[in-house]
Amino acid sequence: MARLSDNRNTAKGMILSEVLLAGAIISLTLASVVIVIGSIQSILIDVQNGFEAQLLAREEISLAHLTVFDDVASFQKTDGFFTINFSVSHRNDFSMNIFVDVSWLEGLFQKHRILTDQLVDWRHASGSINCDWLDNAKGDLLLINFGTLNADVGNLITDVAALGDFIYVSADSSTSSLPDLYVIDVHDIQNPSIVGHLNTGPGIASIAVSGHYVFAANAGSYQMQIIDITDPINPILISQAKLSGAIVSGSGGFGKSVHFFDNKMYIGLIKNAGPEFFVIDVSNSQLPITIGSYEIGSTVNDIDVQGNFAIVVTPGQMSVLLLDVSNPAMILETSRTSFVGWQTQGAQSVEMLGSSITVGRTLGGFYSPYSELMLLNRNDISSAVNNLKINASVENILGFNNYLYITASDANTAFQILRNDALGSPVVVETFTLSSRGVALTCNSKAMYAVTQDAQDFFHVFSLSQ
Amino acid sequence: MLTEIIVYIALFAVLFSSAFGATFQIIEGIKYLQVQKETVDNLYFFQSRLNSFVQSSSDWENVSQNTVEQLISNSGLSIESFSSQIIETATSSSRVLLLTLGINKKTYTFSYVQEK
Repeated sequence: MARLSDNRNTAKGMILSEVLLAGAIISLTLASVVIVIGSIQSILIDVQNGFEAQLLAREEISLAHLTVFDDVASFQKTDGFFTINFSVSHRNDFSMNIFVDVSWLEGLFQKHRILTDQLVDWRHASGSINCDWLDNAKGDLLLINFGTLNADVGNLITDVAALGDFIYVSADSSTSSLPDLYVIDVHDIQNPSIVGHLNTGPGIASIAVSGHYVFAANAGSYQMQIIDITDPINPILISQAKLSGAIVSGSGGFGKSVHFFDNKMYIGLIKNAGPEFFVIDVSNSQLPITIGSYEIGSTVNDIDVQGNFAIVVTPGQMSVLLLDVSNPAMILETSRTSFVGWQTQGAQSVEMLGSSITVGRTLGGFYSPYSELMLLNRNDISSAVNNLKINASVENILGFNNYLYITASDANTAFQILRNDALGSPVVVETFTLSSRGVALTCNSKAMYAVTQDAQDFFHVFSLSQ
Repeated sequence: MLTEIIVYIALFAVLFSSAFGATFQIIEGIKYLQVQKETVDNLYFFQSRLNSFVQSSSDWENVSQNTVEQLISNSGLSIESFSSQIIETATSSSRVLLLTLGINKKTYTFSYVQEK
């Protein structure tokens, strides 16, 4: 009996455990299905949020197209549970990349929808250089022509500018009969050749090109010149003028620097008793009109203009001045700054890309501890945000994306490529030896061109290394 | 014995009611997912059609509620509200069209850029 009773108990226990097991399986199955449904629902919510996020990103990009180019700036804002991060990065003087990152929290994860676009300031692009190939080249350039051309003996090369397949090189000689503008044909960048030249007088300190014209700052009492290059092989001086108000005495008051922007020539002069900074309306190239001037109190070594702002650099105590030129008849000084070591290191060159300003300085002497490259933020130029010791004078700067291309006074490092790292700190990527002191550089749709000071072997061509 | 039978019946009742309840919820959930998926699919489909239409329209004045409703008519969606705004500024060579549409109780803003 006892055994029968045990069996019955055993059978009863089995039934209960089977029921419980069945219940557990059903529960597990149902839980799995619920989890699967939950996951699918989560995916669908994610897709729907992604749809809304991309609409928000598109809207911000669309509205950026309506904003004045110089006013497009990075920002962050929230819209419902979306966070919108809008950031800009200037490629060059007239174009910028924009990134819109719309993010939202999905459970424990931060999800993102990122759209990118490019804004181009078409209104001002015509006077700017087109070097899109640098997007791919970055820091990887190859020197394909080392000092292939010679200028007239004794001519000192001062500047270079590109327009299409012709490169214009200015020179300033103590012999007034020598040419001060050379035209180089670079249809074949492997075989550049001088195809034209012009003698405008005392010599040209700096040039800019746009449309059919070279705009020159002349190192003489006629500080402003316009040269017609409709026929690049036969450049013609079509107008020149003495700038009213500048007091020419010795070399004081001579032309030193020039920048072209928005149908205006911005000319910088050597220190004199009058203004050193002039704005000239050249809408009519035959009839240039001075529409504004400003006394800097020092020689204007270089100028860059973007939107309503001009930045000028000088060898004086006030190394950098930011000017509001929205009304050229009433130029306002927005801010100025002095760098440490200014007594021996003047500001020589400048490049402004968006709010980033890079200033090149002269070498302060062999043992000078101070940097020659200073990086500023346009919103507050009172102190440098970064700097770099180059151990040579920085003669010219060209910025493209987060790269800086510079010419320097030491022939052994006369051409340098720098990259701004993630923290905005510049690092030298590559240096090249050129034939003499590096003076200036430019680029066109095919290559980059650096000129050196001595007439012998002055022209150097860089292109993609592949 | 009776107690056992009652306990079993109660146990099965709870188990099966839970199972039926859960199954019902799952079916409802699947139906909801299906509707949601269709909505998302339809939104993307509609956006694609809207993009084609707006980008091929030289005159944005023609982008009206009627034309948009025609585009959406066979997509399974309906427009509950409509507003259109063309923005131009003196300083920009572009103009922007903002189409704000109420669809399935949500508001979506579709934006387009065009050279003047």
